[in-house]
Amino acid sequence: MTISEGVKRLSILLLAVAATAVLLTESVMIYSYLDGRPLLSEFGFDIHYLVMNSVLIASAGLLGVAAYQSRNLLLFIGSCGIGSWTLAHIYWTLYVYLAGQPISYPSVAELGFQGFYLVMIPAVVYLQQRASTDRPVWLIGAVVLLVGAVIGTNILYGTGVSLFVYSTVSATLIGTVLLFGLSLVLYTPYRLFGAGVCLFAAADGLYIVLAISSPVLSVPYVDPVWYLSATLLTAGLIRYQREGMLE
Amino acid sequence: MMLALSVAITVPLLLLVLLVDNAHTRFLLLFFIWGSTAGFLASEINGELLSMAGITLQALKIQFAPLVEELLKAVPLVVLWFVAPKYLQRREIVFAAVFAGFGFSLVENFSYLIQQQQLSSVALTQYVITRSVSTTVMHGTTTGIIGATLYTLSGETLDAYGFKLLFALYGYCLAVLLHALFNIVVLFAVLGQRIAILSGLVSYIVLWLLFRIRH
Repeated sequence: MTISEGVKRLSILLLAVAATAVLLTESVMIYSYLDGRPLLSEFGFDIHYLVMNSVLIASAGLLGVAAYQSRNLLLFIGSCGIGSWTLAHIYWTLYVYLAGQPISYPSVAELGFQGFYLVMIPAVVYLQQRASTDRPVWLIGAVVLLVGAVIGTNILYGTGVSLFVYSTVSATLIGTVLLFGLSLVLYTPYRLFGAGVCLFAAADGLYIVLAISSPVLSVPYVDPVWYLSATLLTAGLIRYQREGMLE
Repeated sequence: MMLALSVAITVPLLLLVLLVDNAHTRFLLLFFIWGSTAGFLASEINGELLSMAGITLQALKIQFAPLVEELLKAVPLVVLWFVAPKYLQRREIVFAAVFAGFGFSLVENFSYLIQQQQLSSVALTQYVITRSVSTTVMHGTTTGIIGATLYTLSGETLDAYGFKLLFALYGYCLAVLLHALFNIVVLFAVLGQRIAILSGLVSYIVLWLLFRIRH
């Protein structure tokens, strides 16, 4: 079972569209920041969220079609991961627009955002094993160290139970994907996919650190990283499947 | 009231279970009964959350209720996973999960119906139809997602990936998120009544066709 040429071309086109949108959005925000104005106008925010949600839906959908054409489970898992993050972001956007107020953090949308990592952990570990290279010695140690550091910081600052649980679970999920993604970039042929998950995890990690200090938060300058990484993941997985790297 | 409603539905069905010979039908009926019991339990927990935790009705509907309701509806599935995993290998488990969702929705629909007594009979019928083909389908679908996840996990499909608990958690997260999305759309009347009915019916037909084609 192979993925059609059309789907492959669409995945590259989607990546190009996302990269262009990232450049445009970030340029506008930098220009506005230097000019002392808000990063985006009201209309700018509308367009920004429309583009973001559209690209995310297209990424998840395209990967779903590719999974169907190739009958490849990894592609389906990737589609589910991006799909769950997308649904969570749509929920977040609807809440902000309909309730007329930013959603407080953490919210039920977190289940969708973290859902991405729940399925990406098996995916990155699977690819790491497939690459036939030894797992780097630092990898498990780094994950344990990261989780330990988060738990230690929580104990040191005497945070409440909910923040303790939330930060530990998030750090474990995001940290594992980030570090395994890094090992995919450094030691395996699955560099594009590794780069995609690393970017995704880095953006989520940054967002959580910011959100802990300010629970009601919108970070338009981080948003483009998410949809760019989603298209990277989609294009990467489709390329690997077509080149027989996932057979 | 919810207790009375739950008893009114579960007792006749329990009696019916004793009369039915077919094991498959009995299995489905038991899930339906659990769903209607879960409807009562959820209303109690949600009521406590409103009065004790001091959260608003809006926050309850679009943040907390989906968490509680999806967990309660999935209780028999989780129990089977630990106690009798072989049951999860039968595809009937997906139907059974949908039955639990429908049972839950029945109690919930009745409770809302009783609260709308000021409406005329035509308006009341319209109200019931709307809920029956939108909320009921949503409850069935979300519990069905959890059932389908556990059914897939019980087979060999995902053996190469391991981390089965993470996939099971993913199924729950997805069910809660879809439930919350549905509630937010309904609460703020984003797309109107017709779209709610249409989307419910279309998604039901699509899911039914997909299931029939796959098997």
